[in-house]
Amino acid sequence: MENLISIGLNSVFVGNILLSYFLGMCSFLAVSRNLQTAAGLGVAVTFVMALTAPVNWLIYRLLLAPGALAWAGFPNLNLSFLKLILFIAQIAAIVQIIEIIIDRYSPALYTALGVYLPLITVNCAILGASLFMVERNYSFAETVVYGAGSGTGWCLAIIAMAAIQKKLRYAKVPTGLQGFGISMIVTGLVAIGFMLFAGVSM
Amino acid sequence: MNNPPFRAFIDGLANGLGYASLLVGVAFFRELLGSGKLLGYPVVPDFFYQAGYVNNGLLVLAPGAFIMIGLFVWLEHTLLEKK
Repeated sequence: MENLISIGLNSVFVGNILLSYFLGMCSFLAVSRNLQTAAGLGVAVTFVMALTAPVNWLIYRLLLAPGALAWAGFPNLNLSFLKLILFIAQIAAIVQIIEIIIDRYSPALYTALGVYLPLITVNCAILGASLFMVERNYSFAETVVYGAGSGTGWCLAIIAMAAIQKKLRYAKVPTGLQGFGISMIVTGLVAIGFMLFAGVSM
Repeated sequence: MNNPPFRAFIDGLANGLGYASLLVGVAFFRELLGSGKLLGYPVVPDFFYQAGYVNNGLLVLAPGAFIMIGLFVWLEHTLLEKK
């Protein structure tokens, strides 16, 4: 249990998938101009990540890992080289479902997210979470916590960024730094803020 | 958008070189200021450390990369504007 709490806290704050592994930067920078859209995308990404990481864990452990097919009579088979293709296909399927649901229940958010909604499919943060889960040998419970935690961390980061962007409109930013430059520096400062949680240990 | 193959090739090559130059630039300053080394060799002389110079550990961590990229963007925008 303690282990789960520490994986959860770590994936939200110190090991934040966006701010310390640089994954999912493109949609983070592009969608963080508007607080509402940012929150919408953040929740969508959290949802996709919380779903895909456990499903990918099942796919990996039951079909792909070395010796995973022993139940079907192939104890020597190692299909783990297929994990990239299967993970991506599975993420695409889940994003497709979520796209249909958002289109049906919140057309405003659907229009606001535009092309960034289908692009969740190739959001590297989501595939990254699945690959880290394999690399770190997480158990099923740990994967559930890690997926939800990483998504929450990404969501928190993009919401913080959108809120700061809103304030920045009234700030005197040097000419050369306006736009992308100040976004990067603010991201760096947010990352420092998230790293402060390194002192918190359970 | 409608470039023939050769111009598209130049475009791709130049994009790649631009990316690579930024990568090398960011890595140069992060390694030099962050750990006092270049390509793994210590370059900051010992008497600097004896005089009280300290490596800036922040640059080795993730936030250092963001801030360094931001500063490079600033530099590039300022240089382009003067032309």
